[in-house]
Parts: sequence; structure tokens; C-alpha cells
Amino acid sequence: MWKWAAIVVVATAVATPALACPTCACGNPTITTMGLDAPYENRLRLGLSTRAWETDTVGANQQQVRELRFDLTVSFAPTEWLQFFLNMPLQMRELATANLQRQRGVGPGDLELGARWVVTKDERLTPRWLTSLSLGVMFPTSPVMTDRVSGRPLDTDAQLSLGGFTPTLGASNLSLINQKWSVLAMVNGDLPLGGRSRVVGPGGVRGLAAVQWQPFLWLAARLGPEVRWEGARWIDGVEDRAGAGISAFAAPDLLFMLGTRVVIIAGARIPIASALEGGVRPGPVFTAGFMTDVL
Amino acid sequence: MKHTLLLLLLAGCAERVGGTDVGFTLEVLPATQAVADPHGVTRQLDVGYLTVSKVALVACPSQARRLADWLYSSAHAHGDASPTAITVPYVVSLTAPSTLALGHLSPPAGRWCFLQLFFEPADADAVGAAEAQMEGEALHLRYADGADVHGADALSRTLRLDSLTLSEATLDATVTVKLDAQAWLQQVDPMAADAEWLALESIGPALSVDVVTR
Repeated sequence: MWKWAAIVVVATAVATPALACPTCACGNPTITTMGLDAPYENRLRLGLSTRAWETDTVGANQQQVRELRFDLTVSFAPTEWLQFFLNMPLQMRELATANLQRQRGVGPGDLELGARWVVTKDERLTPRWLTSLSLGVMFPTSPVMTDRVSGRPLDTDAQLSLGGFTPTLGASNLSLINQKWSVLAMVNGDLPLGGRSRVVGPGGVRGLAAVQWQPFLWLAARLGPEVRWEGARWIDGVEDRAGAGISAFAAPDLLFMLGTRVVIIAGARIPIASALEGGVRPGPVFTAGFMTDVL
Repeated sequence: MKHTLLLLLLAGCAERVGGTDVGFTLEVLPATQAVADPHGVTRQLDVGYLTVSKVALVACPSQARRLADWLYSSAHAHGDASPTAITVPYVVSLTAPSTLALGHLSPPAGRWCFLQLFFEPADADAVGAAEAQMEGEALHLRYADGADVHGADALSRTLRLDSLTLSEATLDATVTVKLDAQAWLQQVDPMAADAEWLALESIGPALSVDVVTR
């Protein structure tokens, strides 16, 4: 009797962390970030990330736009093939112009709701690849930023969002080569359907291809190119191509797994080439965040 | 306090701070007395109007630009449009003293060496054009002896600014352009062929500019 009880206690103690381990639950030890993770039934994931970026415009319309944003993301997977997600940003943006004026705004960004389907998955005990598609909508929840003294709206580039419903579409693939190496690829696009203040924001596509090296279960490093294409925006029906074009970044990331439930990521996007119109030059982007499995 | 902060974050909070501000004023010293033209003929001006169609700041050429200009004899570039130019046209009287606020600009920081004044025919929207009946005209001079000068010629004059440097320490300035109409008319021969063009061309010495920075 006591022997059986001891076996049950030991088995429970061993089994509990194993069941709680997200990577173990989906049978793949690769440390993943949101959008690349393998859903499993009733997985509830919470993430908080921050991103700092800037762009400079040189020439006649010299200016600098800087932003620090925090994204709170919640994802829930009712099945191992489907995952719903919600993303709510809080943004702080500053526009500095050549006339030494600074326009600053702090507020909520656009709420995004979406779903992600696992299209195909390796059905082995340790899946070696996973392909998924995502579809979402960004809602114009960001208020118009207006100067608290004059009541006048800030310039377009100082607005946290241009408003308007924006459908988003994405695809991702994660392939495990062996226990230490994996390859990931992601493509995301968005196309604003409208905008406020007679300005319709630009559509864009972002693609990332990276190799991930995971020397330990708790540590991974990945590196790859990230390419972004941005279209023109429309002001009063007139095309404005400032900032439109393509830019390429080196995208190094470090991922840490703390315990069995928390993943921490820190990375950068270093511009290596750009062909943006209107004298716009992308600056480096720094990112950091953590995500945890609540369930 | 926590609720206030939360509300601010949800509703958003924004501000616009700093920025250069340069105000432009045109002062006219009127031609109220009879003046002698270049031929010594004394005339009294009855009606006089001038259209100032545009005021533009021009940046100082850099050393590299000066060298390039010297090497290649390139043309002097005009200032860019919006942040450095007031494009609202005004019709000013030359027979009554007036101080006209032309408007404000918020140009990029740096040194500004020149001010360009454009004299072009007034359109229907020009301030004061209707009262002065100046639509389509850049200059109208009517003397008591019947001499009449008017037309649709267009010309610009460039004035040197002595000290307009905008920086974080000096964001505001006032630029006052003074037109001495009495002195100008001494250079105008209303009986000359192409009198309007010659009159506009001779306006330069009658113009002066003061800059006050804060």
C-alpha cells in the first residue's frame, strides 16, 4: 500500500512539470515566440513586448520619428490546430522637425484581434515542422493625438495610428533540423482600408527568415535577414510616396527559457540596406519581451 | 491619481513644444509729398498700390555650396516652398502709412542670409485687391498730373539679412521690411516706356530690413 502511494507521489511530482512544460507538451524542445509556437488544447499564453524604433528623413523635409511601444498579447488555443490572439499596444511617439519643434503623443494603439490556423504539422511525437496561417484585423482604437494646449491635431507622422480598419495576413513555418538547429520563416502583411483625417496609411509586407541555434534547452540564438516593403499612403486621394519602398535588416535575437513557462527574448533589427523614397532612412530597432504560459 | 493616469493612457495625451517662429511685418513710409523724378520733374502721387505676392527666406550658402558655385557657376537656388515662404499676396498702399502683418513662418533652424520679396500681379484672393482695384496688376501709380503707371509685370528683390540665426537658444524672431515710398518714387520715371518694369526694378534701394531675435 505504502509502496503504491510512494509511486503515485513520485509519478505526480515528475509528471507535473512535464505537463506544464510548453515545449514538452507540443513535443518539440525548440524555444519559440508567439506566432511560431505550436498550439495545444487550452494553451493560454500571455506576452508583453517592447520595441523602440526610429526613422530619419533627410533633405528638405528633414525630421526624425521615434517610438517606444509596449504590446500586450494574449493567445488562446482551443485546439491544437487553432489559436486566437489579441494584441493591444501602448505607444509613445515623438516627431522632431527641422524647425526644432517636438510633437509627442502617448496613448493606446490599434487593437488587433485574429486567429491562427496550423495548416500542416508533422504528426510525429516530436514534430519537425509546423506551418500556419494567420488572419486578423486591427481596429482603430488609437485616439487622434491633439495638442493639449491648442487643441490642434498633431502632424500625421506624430499620430500613433492613422485610423481605419486594417486586415492583416500572415504565414509562418518552423522546421526543426535537429535538437540544436531550426529554421523559421515568417511573412506578415497589412492593408489599411481607410483612415481618418483624409489620410490612408500605407500597406506593408514584412518577411523574416532566420536560423536558430539552441545550444541548451534554456538558451537559443537566431539570426537572419528581415525585409520590409511599405507602400504609399494617400492624402486626400493623392499618393504620397515618402517612406515607400523596401528596406532590409539584420535580425539577431536571443531567447531564454526561464523554468518551464517563461520565455524572454531580446533582439535588434539593424538596417543594412534601404531604398525608401523621400529621403527616409530607417534606424535600428530594439526589441525585448517575455511570454508565459498561463495554462 | 492612479485612475487619472489610467484615463490619460486610455484617452491619449499629446503636446507640441518648441519650434521656431518668425513673424514678418511690412512698414510703408508713404509718399505724401510731391517728389522730383529722375528728370527733375516734380509730381504728386494721388494713387499708389503695390502687390507683394510672396515673402521667402533663403538659407545661407554653405562653404561647399560656395565652392561648387565658384567651380561650376551654378544658379543660385531659391528657397523651398512651404516652411520658408509666405505665399498670401497683399496689396499695400503707397500713399498712407501702414504696418502690415504678413504672417509667420516656422523655418528650419540655421542661418538665414536673405529675404526675397516677390512683386507679382494680384489675384482675386489677394488681401486688399478688391478695394484697390488691383486684380491682375502688380503696381499702380497715378499722379496728379495724369501720369499713370500700371501693369502686370513680375519681379523679385533679394535683401540681405544681417543676423537671423535660429537655434534652441533663439527660436523667435521678427523681420520688419521697410519700404520708403517717397525715396522710391524719386527713381521712377512715369513717362518712360515700360515704366512699370523700370519702377519695380528700382525699388531695391528703397527697401530695408530689420531683424530682432528673442
